[in-house]
Amino acid sequence: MSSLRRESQDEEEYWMKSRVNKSKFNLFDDNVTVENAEELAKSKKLLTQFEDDDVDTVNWDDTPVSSVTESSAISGVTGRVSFTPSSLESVTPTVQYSKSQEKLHSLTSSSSARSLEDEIPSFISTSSGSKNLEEEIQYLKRALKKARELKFSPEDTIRKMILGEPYSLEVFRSKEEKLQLLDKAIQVHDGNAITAVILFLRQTIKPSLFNLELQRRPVAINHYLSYLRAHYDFKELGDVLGMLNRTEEAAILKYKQAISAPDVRGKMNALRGCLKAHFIHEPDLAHEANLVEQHAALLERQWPIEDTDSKSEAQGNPLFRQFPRKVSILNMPLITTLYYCCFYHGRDAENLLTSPFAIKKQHQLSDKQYVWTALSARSRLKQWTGIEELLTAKGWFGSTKKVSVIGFDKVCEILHRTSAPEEILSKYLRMIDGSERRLNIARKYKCHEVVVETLVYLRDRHELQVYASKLPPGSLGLRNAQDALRSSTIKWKT
Amino acid sequence: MGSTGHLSNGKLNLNLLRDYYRRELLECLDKCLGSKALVWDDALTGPFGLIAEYSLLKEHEVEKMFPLSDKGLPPSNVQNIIFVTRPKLHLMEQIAQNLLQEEHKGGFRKEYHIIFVPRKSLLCEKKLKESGVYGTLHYIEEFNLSMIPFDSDLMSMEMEGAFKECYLENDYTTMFYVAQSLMTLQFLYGIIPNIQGKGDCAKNVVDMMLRMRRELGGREPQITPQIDNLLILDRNVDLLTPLLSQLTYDGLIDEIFGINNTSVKLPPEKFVSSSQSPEDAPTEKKKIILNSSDELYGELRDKNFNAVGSLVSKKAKTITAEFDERHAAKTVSEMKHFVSKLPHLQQMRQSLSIHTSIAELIKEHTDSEEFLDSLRCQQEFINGLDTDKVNTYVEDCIGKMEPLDKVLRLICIQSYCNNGLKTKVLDYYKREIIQTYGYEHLVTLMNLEKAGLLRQSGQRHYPTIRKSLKLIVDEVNEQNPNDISYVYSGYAPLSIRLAQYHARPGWRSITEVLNLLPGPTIEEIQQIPVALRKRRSSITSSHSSVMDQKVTLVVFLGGVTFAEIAALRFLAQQDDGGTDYVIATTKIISGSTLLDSVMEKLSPVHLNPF
Repeated sequence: MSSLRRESQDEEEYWMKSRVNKSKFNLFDDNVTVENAEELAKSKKLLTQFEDDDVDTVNWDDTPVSSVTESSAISGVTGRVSFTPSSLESVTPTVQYSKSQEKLHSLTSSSSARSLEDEIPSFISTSSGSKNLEEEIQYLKRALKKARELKFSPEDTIRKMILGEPYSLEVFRSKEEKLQLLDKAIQVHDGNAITAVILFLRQTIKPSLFNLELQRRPVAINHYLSYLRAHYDFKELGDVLGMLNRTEEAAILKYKQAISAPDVRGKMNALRGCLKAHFIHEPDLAHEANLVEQHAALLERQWPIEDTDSKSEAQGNPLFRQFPRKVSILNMPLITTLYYCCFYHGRDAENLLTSPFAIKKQHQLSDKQYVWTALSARSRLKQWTGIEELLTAKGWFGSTKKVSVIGFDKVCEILHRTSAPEEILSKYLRMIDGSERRLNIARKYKCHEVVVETLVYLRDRHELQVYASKLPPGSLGLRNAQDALRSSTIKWKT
Repeated sequence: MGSTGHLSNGKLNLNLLRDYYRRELLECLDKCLGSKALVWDDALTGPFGLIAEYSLLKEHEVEKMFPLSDKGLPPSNVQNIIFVTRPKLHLMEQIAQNLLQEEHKGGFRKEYHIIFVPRKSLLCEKKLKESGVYGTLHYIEEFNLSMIPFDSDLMSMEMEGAFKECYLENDYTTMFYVAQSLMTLQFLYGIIPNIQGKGDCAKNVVDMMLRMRRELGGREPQITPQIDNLLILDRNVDLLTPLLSQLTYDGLIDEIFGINNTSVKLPPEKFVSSSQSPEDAPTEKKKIILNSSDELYGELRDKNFNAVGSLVSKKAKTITAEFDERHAAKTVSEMKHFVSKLPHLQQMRQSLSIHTSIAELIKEHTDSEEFLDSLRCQQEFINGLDTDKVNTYVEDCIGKMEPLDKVLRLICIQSYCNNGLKTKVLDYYKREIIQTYGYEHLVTLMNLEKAGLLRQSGQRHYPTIRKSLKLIVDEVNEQNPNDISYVYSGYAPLSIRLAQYHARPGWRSITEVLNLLPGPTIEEIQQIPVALRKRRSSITSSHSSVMDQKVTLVVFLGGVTFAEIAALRFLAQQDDGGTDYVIATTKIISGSTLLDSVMEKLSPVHLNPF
């Protein structure tokens, strides 16, 4: 393979030397790019959805205005150039020509405008340039015609593509030949070649036929899809997915596009639109449809909350002054939103957007999720009574009892994390079921009182002695421990 | 970059590969005459560092190096600007931008070139043309660097996108690179006679390899094969193993700190020597190179972490004892002998102190409640306990907003061990995750399902696979292992069991299990001329057992974990294993990096900033 590469290099060098000036291009390269240039022209055409076959107009029309003014600027430059040939080497003209070269490619569909580079030194007036160009085009047209008469097998062409040798897809005229080419490319698993052939097919056969043939070749489809994805051609991508009945992927693609909208209002609209168009009617996506619906609903809730709160913060609401908002609530996850509302709007009535209860209801959050979040918020706000309310359930006949759906060990963990005072922590530690577990957790959070109590409850005198020996003198825990050790009413385990 | 001796210590001299790459690189560079500046695609500097050092580049007139960025190039007065880049479209945009800016600036005339690593792509060239800069480029070269030698028995392509591209996007470009690198390896080490593999990608690679060989048309090097077997495994043949927490030394380093291109960056606090005052303690992360040229690391890396502590302390004792020998040295020759050992001892002592620090860092992590709880949960799942309902520990993790990748890892393990989750359970998890971590992760979850990491309940294969491949081993000896299951303390990696059966007694004995695993099973034989075949040593030869040790190249498509590598190395050391292993992969992964690659990238927000 390397020897081949070397050969091509030699050739390249030959061409380089054969030119008078230091040209950056060589004819050798041109052969390769004929196809690409044409592809470019045609794909541009497809993209802009022009129906007429007149390539010229499309491309000239397609040319941005700015480049026109630029090219007029160059003619000024080149005018000066002729007087001071040394400045020819300057970089700027080169760009301009490489730009115009692109146009010319599209114009002629087959010629190499690179030869324009050759013209630079003698390029004094535009007219003489175009005359030479005309000749060049004629020459290349003839060359192309000659090339067309030669027959290449699909195998040969694909091999050349893989090895990076010059090749031409142009010579394959009939549909059968082109498809053979595609099948051959698929057979050798070469992504580069497959993509190139697909793009060639796309421009040279009818769209209906193109789609049909593509559908028969899953590998080709995958490559085409990744090509579209890489080029952000989401419209075509969506269409192809739809055509292939890959509705799930199409839906997700639309969803991804929708959520990438930069502003929240746009995102809300896009989500609603995408939900209606792609999710609701798909029975397989029922669960996802529900989630997308919720996503939109969440944004619709966050939007007004942010609006009111940021104003209220600017007006110097004491709540926000005490606990400044670190970021905007927009685009935050649901649980974070719930936390935010528990934190800043914990007492709001249920008919308000900010009400934690309303959020729980609308998004069908589980009791666990709710308790977990509300508890963290209230614990940070040091609302101990609030916590008590949260963990109190009504029992029979108006009696109340402490219940925690997340388990009191988790309650204590949250309290500990938000550095609740020891008495509060102890209170909930005592509610943990299972004395061994309670003991372990109390030890972890260094709640001496509860440890001592539990050890007494377990009647483990030895452990209590060991534990007491580690307690700081004068502490409540130590006093309790000593009392217990002295007490005669406890029957210690032997 | 230190010495490269460690590359040539194995069965296969990987320095050959490194030299080959160096030659190719220089050939590329020398095409441009005059002074050069290299503009680097960020992802390539690490791998290039392993094959060439700056001084070598300097010898070839490379005067400056810049990172590729949107900001354009810093001013320089070199004659050539060479972009070294992967064939990725977004990089082409940056290059185009750079070029346009340069031309706008004008000034000193330069020539511009691109070196594509490992291969140029049609789409990239197209992109450059569309941007109107293709004409500005002088040389457009390819430099086929893909399999980078990491250690005497390990090569990686460091392409983290491979798994995602193959299983999510059905883009097999990386497989082409794999096939190409295997051709390079065959070019250097001879044609590999026996090929076996499992999985769709493996099939793909083998097809391409055989085709490429046909295309060479017999123009292949006449070398006696140094590699006897090639075993290619798709990652999706075993999606369970990488999700589990690795328990080997380097596995843990990778899980906690991340090893990239054989080096790791660690928090500096642990590495402050006592002489330094705390004020001028370094704030930058400490970079440590991890490969077998560090003797101690070579010994530690594949050990279960539970065995590392005792090994380190044993080593410390030996070294102290050896240092103490100086007191015993009486005669001049004894002194001389001691002095000659000194540099080695110093080096050992230094590496001992480094690894003690690393081990301490790891221990902090492995002693944490989160780690132990998650490990317990994983063990329950792989033993098939309560996998069919919502797991309370997983629920708690979500409640505590633990990192998403940890949660997803657990759920994916549960899904695998339960042969897919019931719709109700799956929907419940999805809801909780999306509500807690953001609705955008809907895409992540869809991706996981598409890649097969998460699925709805299907046929019950896992119990059969677990039983017939003996994946769960109750009696593990972590200190002196007798089975590969030590790397996960009781679970033998499925992928490595396949390699083990492949060597002995052969895959024919496990056909049924192979049929349960996804993808086709591949078996090919490459004919080689009689003259090049390995001569069977006669039965009478006493060295036959040593000489006949075969070499198997195991290729993991889509990534391999350090724990799996450790398990293979363990097999290679076994006398009855029958083969030595060389490992190649698209990327060394851990559960987190694997999931990361298929996750929807969200802007990094703190989950609960309030």
